[in-house]
Amino acid sequence: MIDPHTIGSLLCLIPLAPLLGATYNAFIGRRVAKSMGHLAVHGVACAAVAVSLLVSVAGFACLVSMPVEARELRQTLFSWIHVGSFDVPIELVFDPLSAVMCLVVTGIGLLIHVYSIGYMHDDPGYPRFFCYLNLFLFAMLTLVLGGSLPLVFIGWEGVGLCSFLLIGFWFAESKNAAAATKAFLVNRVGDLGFLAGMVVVFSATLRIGSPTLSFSVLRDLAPRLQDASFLGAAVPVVAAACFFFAATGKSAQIPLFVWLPDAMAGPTPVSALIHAATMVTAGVYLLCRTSFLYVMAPDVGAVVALVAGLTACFAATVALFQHDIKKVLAYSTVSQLGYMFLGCGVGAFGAGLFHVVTHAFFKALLFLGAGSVIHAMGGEQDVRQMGGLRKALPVTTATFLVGILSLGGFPLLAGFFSKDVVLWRVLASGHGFLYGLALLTSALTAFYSIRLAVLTFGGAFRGGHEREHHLHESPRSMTVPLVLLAVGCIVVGWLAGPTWLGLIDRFAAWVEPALAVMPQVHEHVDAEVEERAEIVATCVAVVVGLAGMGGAWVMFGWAPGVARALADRLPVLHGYLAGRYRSVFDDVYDRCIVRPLLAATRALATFDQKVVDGLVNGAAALIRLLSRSSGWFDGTLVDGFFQRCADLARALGRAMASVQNGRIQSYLMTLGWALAVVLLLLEFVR
Amino acid sequence: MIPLAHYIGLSAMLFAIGAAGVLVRRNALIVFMSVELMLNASHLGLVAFSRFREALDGQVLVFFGMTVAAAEVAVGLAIIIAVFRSRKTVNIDELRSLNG
Amino acid sequence: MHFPPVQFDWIAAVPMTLLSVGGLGVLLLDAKGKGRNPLVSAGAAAAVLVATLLWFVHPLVPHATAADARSFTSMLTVDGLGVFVTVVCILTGLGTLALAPSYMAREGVKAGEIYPLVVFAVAGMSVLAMGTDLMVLFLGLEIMSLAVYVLAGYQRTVDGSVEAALKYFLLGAFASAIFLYGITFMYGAAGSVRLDLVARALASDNPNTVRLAQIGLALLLAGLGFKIAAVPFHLWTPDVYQGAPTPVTAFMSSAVKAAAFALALRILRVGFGAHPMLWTEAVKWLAIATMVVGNLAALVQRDLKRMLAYSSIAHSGYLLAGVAAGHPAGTSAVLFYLAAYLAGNLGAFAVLVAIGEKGDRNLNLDDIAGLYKTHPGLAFALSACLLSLAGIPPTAGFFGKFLVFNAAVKAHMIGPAVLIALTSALSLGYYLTVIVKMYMAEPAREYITEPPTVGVRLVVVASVASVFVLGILPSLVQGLAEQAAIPLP
Repeated sequence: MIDPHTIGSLLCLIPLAPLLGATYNAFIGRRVAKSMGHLAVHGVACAAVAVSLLVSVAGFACLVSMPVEARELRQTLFSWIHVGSFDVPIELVFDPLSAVMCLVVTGIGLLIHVYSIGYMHDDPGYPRFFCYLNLFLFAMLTLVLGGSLPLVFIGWEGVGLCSFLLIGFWFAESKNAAAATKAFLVNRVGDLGFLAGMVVVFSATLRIGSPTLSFSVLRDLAPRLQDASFLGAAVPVVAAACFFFAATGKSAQIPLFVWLPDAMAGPTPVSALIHAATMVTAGVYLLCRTSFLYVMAPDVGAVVALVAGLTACFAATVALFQHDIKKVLAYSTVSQLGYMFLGCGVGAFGAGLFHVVTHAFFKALLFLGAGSVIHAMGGEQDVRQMGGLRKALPVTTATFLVGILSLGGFPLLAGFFSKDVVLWRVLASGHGFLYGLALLTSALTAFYSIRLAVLTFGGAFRGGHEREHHLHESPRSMTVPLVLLAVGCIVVGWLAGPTWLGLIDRFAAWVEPALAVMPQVHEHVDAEVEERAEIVATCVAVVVGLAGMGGAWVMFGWAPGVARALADRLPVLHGYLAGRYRSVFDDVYDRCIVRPLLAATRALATFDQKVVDGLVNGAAALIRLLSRSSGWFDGTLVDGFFQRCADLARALGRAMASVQNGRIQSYLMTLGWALAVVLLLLEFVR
Repeated sequence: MIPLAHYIGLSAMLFAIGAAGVLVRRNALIVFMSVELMLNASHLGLVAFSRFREALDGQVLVFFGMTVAAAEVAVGLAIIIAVFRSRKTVNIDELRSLNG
Repeated sequence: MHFPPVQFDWIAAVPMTLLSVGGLGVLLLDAKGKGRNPLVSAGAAAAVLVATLLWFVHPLVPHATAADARSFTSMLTVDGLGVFVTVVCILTGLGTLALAPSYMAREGVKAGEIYPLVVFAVAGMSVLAMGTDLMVLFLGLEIMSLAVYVLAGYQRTVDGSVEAALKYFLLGAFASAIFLYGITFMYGAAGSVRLDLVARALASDNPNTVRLAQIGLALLLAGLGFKIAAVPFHLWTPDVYQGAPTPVTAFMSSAVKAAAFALALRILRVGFGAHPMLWTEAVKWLAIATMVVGNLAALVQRDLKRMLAYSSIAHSGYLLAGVAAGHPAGTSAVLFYLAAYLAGNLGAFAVLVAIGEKGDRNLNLDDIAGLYKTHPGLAFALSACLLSLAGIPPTAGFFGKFLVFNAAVKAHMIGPAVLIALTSALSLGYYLTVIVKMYMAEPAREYITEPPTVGVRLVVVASVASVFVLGILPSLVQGLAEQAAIPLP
């Protein structure tokens, strides 16, 4: 029996240990490393994560020993914001939900730290890299443990910042810096949703007389919020919609997913840690954490499910045609995140969360495996240059295959179980269309995952003799995490052992007390009938998945000519799918937002030059303001930002000079006009 | 007795003339003189209101105003001289190196 | 007519007297030493400011609290608002005194009058913060402004500096004339320039009184808008901030702004507190225009001083939103914001002083590229200060924005509240550019090798520390701000 009080007071170590590690590597690590070598850097960084992991495990064990309804540890550090009766303490909460997330984040985080020792070995920014990694874990753990919305928001912004720093880690290449900026800006758009959600919740609780932003209090207040309204809609609906919008940013759903594929510019361990296993799941976590809002707003849930289903299917179709090994995995991440949201959308938060856990394992494994491949290929990421790597990279191949089969939903691997639960819950909730979409997606997933594996490891090497000579298996520090993750992929699925095999769904039993439950809408069905239906559904999923895999193997492994022949028969379609298709959203943003605004800007500029110059400066200021704000919107939402921004800024600079021209007299004139306006304004107010 | 409105009207005219001078003249000295005219418009208004209300305190305020105006002249002339020394001009249209 | 009893409490006149007499003493000391030893003058000036500061915070001194304001006749009141703003101005003054010697030495300017001038300006500010009579407030405004005009043109041989001084002076004198004309109308309306009597006269709702007071209020608002740098009265700001010596710019953007906001709060909330419908709408629109224009214009700047000038305009917008929000929450938010802004802003300018070079005074974006490689400490300090100005947690600026936002929402000003959030996001555009340049670009030039002087270091460290302390434990200052806001109606 572990004393809950002791563990409770240790909770702050979970986020603080990585923060200390980051501070160490930011200021001291580099200097110590000069005399002691890399050990001084990664030793501290890994130890910091290990401490977090240990405390998380201890906390987990402690929770297990407690009665189900009392499973919660809290630590209040100090009062952060205190305004009247409104109080936001810095409070960490360790309940079954945060326990799951903490274990995943610290466990997989530790493996990725170890892997980075080998992967980043020759990089001059070695201490900086570990500093950012630790900082990221700090932010993510703050997000997961935060007991109130503002604290979660700090973590939320923190992971965004770290993601920016890590995507742009090799910032010397402008492409990487642009990708980092795009990720940051798109995420900021989503963050507005988070802020708006906080405002809605705060103002609603203020109106009912007990202002709060703390989850536990909100959960108790939730029934009273049901009747409150905000701008004409029920508060839970507005707040849930806002938080979902925030989640689409961080978790890469339509319409804000455009940053994630570009984010692959970062080092591969970063892609594994941030853009696959942990950060992108923050949105799902937020939905689970605020699940009490979603059960009160079933319409929002339906929207979530629909958006998620479309995202999953769209991303899967894009992934079919990618040649960059990391891009395939990136789109598959977007697609799998769709599954998680699909689960949350139909009210199966536990199922969505379980997919988070299994996905963390197999996607981290896949990215690290891809890293190992890229490492061996000397930086090459194009699968058309690979093939036949199974001979040179046996460990990587074996573990990668486990990951790929898990992603593709091969029976009895982790991904299979979690996806199966999500599919079943979608069907059980009566969303026929979404079930079809999800089923189609799982076929596509199976197809592209096998395609990727066959192109990379099957057949003969296509990269030339020179490269073939240099192929080598990766060092121990990289392969050990791979093996551990592969074992995880095989084992972890059984946590939610399918009930139709006579096993208990331990995961659901563990996490569900911390989640809200969707009120049952459909009439109760006989348990036996339901079980039979579930078995049928599982069989359908298995058949569909195996068909996808088989199809891919036929087209790319058994008879490679088939794929080529198909592409040649439909050159236009194939050209589009392999080319512009993936950036269809970027193009839409470009067409619908950037260009009209740019045109308007130009028109306004002409108008400004020809007509307005003679009029008062106030009018000119208004027009400049419009053109400038439109310029800003171009920039935040689209690619090609820098090119256009440079032109725009110059034009705006010129426009600017017309008022801020340095002439005292024109300033005085403006002062005079402004005075007249104020006089008139006051006259009207009367 | 001349009604209050006439005084206030005169004060407003003085103020407007001063403001116009500030806005159209190019010589820093003249601009500055026009500002002084605007101050005097205020003083006239204060005296008129004070007389109309048969209270002395408005006239006392004018002394403070005059003191401030004198201090402003001292500083203003010094600045204008400094400008003339470095630029050899007091035409305010030519002083526009800071802009944008 | 019944007049409220007049208090002759000499205690209330002490800070003003200390500052003006002390300033004269420093001036004489400097003249006696023929300006040969600027550090002595700086030290003496700092001693005067510290003495005043101690007078405020020393437990033996009769305290002016919200419940227990002390008045010198009806003209000066040592109350929470006055003390809070005066302390902010004194701290800024101390920072300026610490930055000025090394800057002036580098630029080869030899005179020491800059130090007494800073003390005089602070004296004017203390009058602005504590005055309760329009004429006294006008005197305070002029005492402050005349000193700052001279400070802005302190580098007499540098074109930009004298041009800035002339611009500031001519526009400032114009604004002062408008302000004084406003006082004339207020006198005409109320028969007195005491703010409490103005409020009482307005309460009678006599149409003539209200009409005259309205004209007066419009003129006063224009004068205030100028000092606050509210759009559209802001045009002087970028030019003057760019041309003035950097420590003076730091002083102007923090202290002058704080004093001007004290003036605005005093006039609007004491004089017109019972008639908010006369001014809230106008102030709200000023706030909106200021937030939007300030932030948008800052986006395209490449000169850092100019960029900070526009950012200073933008912050005036947030502060104005707090003023418009009214009620105690708005006032205390404004006061907290002033303290938070002081920390971030002074720190940013201190870093600019540290990395500037002679002749190359106008640092622009390309000059600080790769600063992280050569001066990691300064780069970190500048980043922290800019993040605070941008309002990113856990810095002081975040909490200031949060309070203002909160006050705006409470006052049902949803439009300004949304704009606060939107323009803050927009402001990241220019603040982050600087940080990205410092951390992610290659150095474009050789940096000075000489390390910053003790004074500059002190300011940088103190600013960064306050940015984080106020961000993590805002309650330290927030309590004072809330207390200071109580006496205002």
